[in-house]
Amino acid sequence: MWLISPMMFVLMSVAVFPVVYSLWISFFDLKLRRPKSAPFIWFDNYIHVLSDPGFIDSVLRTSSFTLMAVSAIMLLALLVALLLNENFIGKKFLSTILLIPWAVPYVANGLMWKWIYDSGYGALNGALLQLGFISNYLIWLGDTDKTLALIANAFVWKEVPLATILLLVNLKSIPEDLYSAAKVDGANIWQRFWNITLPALKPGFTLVMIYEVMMAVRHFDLFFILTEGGPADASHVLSWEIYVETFRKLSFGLGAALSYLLAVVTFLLAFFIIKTLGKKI
Amino acid sequence: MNKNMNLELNRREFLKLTSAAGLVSTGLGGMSINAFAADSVNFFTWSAAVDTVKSHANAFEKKFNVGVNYSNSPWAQYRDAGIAKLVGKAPVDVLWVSDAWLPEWVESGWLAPINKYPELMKYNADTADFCVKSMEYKGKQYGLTYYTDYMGFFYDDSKLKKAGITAPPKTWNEVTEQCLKIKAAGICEFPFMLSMAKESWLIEFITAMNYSFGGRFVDDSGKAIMQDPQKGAAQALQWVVMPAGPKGSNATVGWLRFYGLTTQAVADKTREANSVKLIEWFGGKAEGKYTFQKNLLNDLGSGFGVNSLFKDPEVIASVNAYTDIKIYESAQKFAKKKDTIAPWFGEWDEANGSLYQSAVLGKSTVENALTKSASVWTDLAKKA
Repeated sequence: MWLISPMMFVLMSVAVFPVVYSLWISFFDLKLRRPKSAPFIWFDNYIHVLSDPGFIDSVLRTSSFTLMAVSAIMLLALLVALLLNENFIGKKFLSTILLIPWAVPYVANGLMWKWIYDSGYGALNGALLQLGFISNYLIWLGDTDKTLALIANAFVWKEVPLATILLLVNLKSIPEDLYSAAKVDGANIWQRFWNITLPALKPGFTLVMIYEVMMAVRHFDLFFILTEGGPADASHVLSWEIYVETFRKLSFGLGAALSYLLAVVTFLLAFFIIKTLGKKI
Repeated sequence: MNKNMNLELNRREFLKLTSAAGLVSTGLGGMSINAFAADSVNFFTWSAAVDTVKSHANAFEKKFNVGVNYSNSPWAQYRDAGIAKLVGKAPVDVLWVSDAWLPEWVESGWLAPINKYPELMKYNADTADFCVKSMEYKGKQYGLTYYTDYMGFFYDDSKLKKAGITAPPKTWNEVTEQCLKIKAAGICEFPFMLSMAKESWLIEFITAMNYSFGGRFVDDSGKAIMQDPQKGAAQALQWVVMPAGPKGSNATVGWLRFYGLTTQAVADKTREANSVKLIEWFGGKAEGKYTFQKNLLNDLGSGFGVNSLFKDPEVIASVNAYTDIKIYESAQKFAKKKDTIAPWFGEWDEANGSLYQSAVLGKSTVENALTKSASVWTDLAKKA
């Protein structure tokens, strides 16, 4: 007990205490710009957040971003994993290349995509103009209808490698005998994929979905670097709302309440995915 | 057995020793910081002109034999970092403050007025009027200027000549006409550039345009009038959405960053005296000269609020290297402080930025955006 006490102390200080303390301050009207007055207001912060139309809009935008990003990640990761499960020349090279986006830090990824999407000198405008798809440079991140999809694209680029690896590990664990037996029974490639590969990938899909949904729902870095919640709140998602309330408006009580709501939503989503998809894991 | 025993004992000893060492070093670390802070001035800035600041702080240390604990934070996180330091009672004696935060920081009890220090107040006689006003709140002054600047529009003379335009525009109607002429001549696809990104400079752009159109966000009593079609911000915002209208004047917005003195510094006589000296050294004269202001101008091209510097031969030469100092000086006289500076500025600015973007992108009408912005202002004012 004496031996583990230093580690227990560190864990309690850096993990348990901040979590409990942030729950505690979510019951106060704590604003740093008037630190001397922080009345205990019970659940008022939670009531304020849940009755705010802006919060509902943020939840809808977060859901939309998550749906777009996670669907694209799962589809692309499946295709790449299926490709890497085959034997072909250059497979090792491709596997190595695939890991690069995963190794790039999120901030660097955000800055890279900021340059790509730039309206004046961005690579996207340059490429599309040269290919004849556009006649003028477009202000990509200034278009409220495209912003979330463009941020989701940057997120997908970064997340696909890890999802691919997880699915690939799952693919490698499928016994070859199943495919041999199916071939003997006359199953074509599509039938083998539909009846063997896809069901066998259920644990991998569940894992990827839980992880990516949690990442997407809580994602902040790209929103901060690419759009700062704009234009006109088009990318004002939940994580951005927490940042704005906490660090720009300095409403730490409200920010803590929002964070707890996000934590509960994330937990419920993971629980729902496990209950529906993960029964046989 | 013995070996294991020794090893276990050693491991336990090691853990005990390292834990004890950790505690002792933390305590000693804290002591040394506090001891150092008692004699030195704790100076906090954003990370601009770092080498220029360090060099001038070193000269201060040599001159007065007083240490300067200099620390900085990037501009983007400066307000949060500064507030966290002030709330956490980390030692901060002198710090850079933006005009927009002054009411918020005074109301929170973090900044102390400088009116009782004649050695600082004497500089008002040589400071641009809007700069002095930008450092005042509820009749008291809270610092000396660090740097100032104002918003102006630049034009590309060669493009105007190419389009057959002989003189730059004087009204917003002329801006529209000349832009259309430049575009029609195929010289430039987007002849007018105005950043509408939601960041800290947006309020300066839109306030400059608003003043130029003769509008206000807030009247002198602090009441929101931005939604008023004539006196408010509608005409300026409408011009951005769909350029039209003959109005236009040289009125613009000026902003100020200044050296603030904290209340915690004033609570300690030694720190107070040293901090006042440091503020004068940086924001006033150092050994009879405006050395730091000139260094800032030469190193970074930063503007200044000191009137007499416009007559300084070195400054004239420095400014004339990239523009005409007479134009630069005369344009600064049109600058006024932002009318939206209030304790709730940060919260209102956050909402107002989104509403402006909505109007510019056609997601909302100008009228709706400004009515909502006025409503946010009024709600925040009521809660304050």
